[in-house]
Amino acid sequence: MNKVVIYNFSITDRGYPFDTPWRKILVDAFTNCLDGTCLRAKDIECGSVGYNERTISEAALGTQVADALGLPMNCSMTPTSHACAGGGMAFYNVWHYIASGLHDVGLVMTFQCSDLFDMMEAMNPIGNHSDYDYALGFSHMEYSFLRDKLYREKYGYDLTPSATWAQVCHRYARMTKGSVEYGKDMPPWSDLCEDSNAGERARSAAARGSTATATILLSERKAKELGLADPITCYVSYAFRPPYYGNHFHYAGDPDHVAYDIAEQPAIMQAARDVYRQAGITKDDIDVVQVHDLSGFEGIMSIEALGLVPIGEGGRFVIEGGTTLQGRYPTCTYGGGIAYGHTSVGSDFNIGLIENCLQLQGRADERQVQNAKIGVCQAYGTHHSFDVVAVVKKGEI
Amino acid sequence: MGFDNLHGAIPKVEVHNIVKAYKEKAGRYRLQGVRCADCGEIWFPRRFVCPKCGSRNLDDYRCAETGAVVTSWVDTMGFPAIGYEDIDERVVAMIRLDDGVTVIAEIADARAEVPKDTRVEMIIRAQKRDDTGNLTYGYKFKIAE
Repeated sequence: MNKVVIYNFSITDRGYPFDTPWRKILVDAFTNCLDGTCLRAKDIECGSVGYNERTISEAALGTQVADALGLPMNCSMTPTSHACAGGGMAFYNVWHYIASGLHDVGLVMTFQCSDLFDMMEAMNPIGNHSDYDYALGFSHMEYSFLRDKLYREKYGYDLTPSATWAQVCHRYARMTKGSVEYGKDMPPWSDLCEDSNAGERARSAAARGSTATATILLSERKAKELGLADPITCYVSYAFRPPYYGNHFHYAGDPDHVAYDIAEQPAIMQAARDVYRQAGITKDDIDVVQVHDLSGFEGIMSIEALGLVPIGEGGRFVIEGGTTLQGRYPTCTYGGGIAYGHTSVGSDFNIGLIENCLQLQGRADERQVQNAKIGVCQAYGTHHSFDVVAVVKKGEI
Repeated sequence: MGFDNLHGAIPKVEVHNIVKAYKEKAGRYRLQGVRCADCGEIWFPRRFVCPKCGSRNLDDYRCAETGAVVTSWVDTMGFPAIGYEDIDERVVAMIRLDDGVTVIAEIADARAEVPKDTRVEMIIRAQKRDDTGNLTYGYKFKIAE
């Protein structure tokens, strides 16, 4: 396998008007990403675009994206619709195109566009599009509430860990200029602790809106040819589990799954083990962490599954300040779901990946983790039916 | 846009569901999954290959119709799932059946959280409206007497 290097990246600003077409948002992300590089659109050899079929209905989307961006006619742009972590899978695709030695320059595009259908968004009234959950009328919200409640019951928590997670993320979000919370007052602690729908929204990734990201990956050979100073190398892995959520843990096909139910995340565990091995690291080497936290407890389960804290201890770790800038694992340092909402449907993974790159480059302003050299990033799709985990390392080539 | 503003925007019926629901009627009506004739593993919903041993030698299997609540939650989010426009508040639960299979289902007629380990039994009830406006039916659970 060839080493893969992250060359440049961009995230669009939040706040596009509702009538903005998706092509415009994608072009903004791509051209911003090209700026500051010595590449042109015609230099892109391969790519992948992450999206969600619930919000984008165009056929042969990859071709339409390649055309919209002005990519060369022989540049394959693979569309990948993997729900909320579609962007993670797009990154996974392009990483493999380059690691395999087939290509030297690849483009990862992800986007969420607030079309008509997306006003409701996949989180709310619609469940998983499997034959059962969806057909029986179960929504993502019902799943996540049941899951969080089960976690609390199993490991002995009230709402304090989730409220603390949210408070830490609200602080980070106020240090992040692209965040929907930037410039706003902090919510009172009492609001974050409220056992009500309003309290749950205050603790969750409640914002919506259009966002796109672009990331350019290079082969090690190309990075050396371009003379990149202080490059960031990256690694990625993926694992899935049955998409029918009631039956998640009844999956004896992989012994690692059997011991767990929906209050733990075995697909993250598997992907994390694999990507740590690829990168030659252990949890002790990790300096900064980004996880997919549509709710606080979801973020807590994710840091447990990444192996950073023991299963069931994540809540206590968060209450003790473990995810703050002074903690052992500063986590969701851009503010996580509270900062960018459920940008989903493409970008949730990639915003975390880009935050890790900013941290490694020392460009994270007041939320900077000192001497950050290794970051890990995770996102999931379709209530943890699958997880993508990536590691970024500083200065390895 | 906050959740509260979305209520009027939600379609009242689900699209393209009729054929899908029909194909899985045995599961929805009878909790019918499969049991692997080679390794004995039970799968619900049904599979066409055993994820444990790879066998395609799978027999129809009716799951236990009784079990116990693992956890439950009163859905009060203020907007119904698509097709549930007339059921705005309901109790959803994770249930472990007596043969070890776990399902997520509604507890019919309940108005509050159902305590852990409460015994429940499967029933057939109207669930939601498909895109013709007709009701579809499937399993729910009720507290065992």
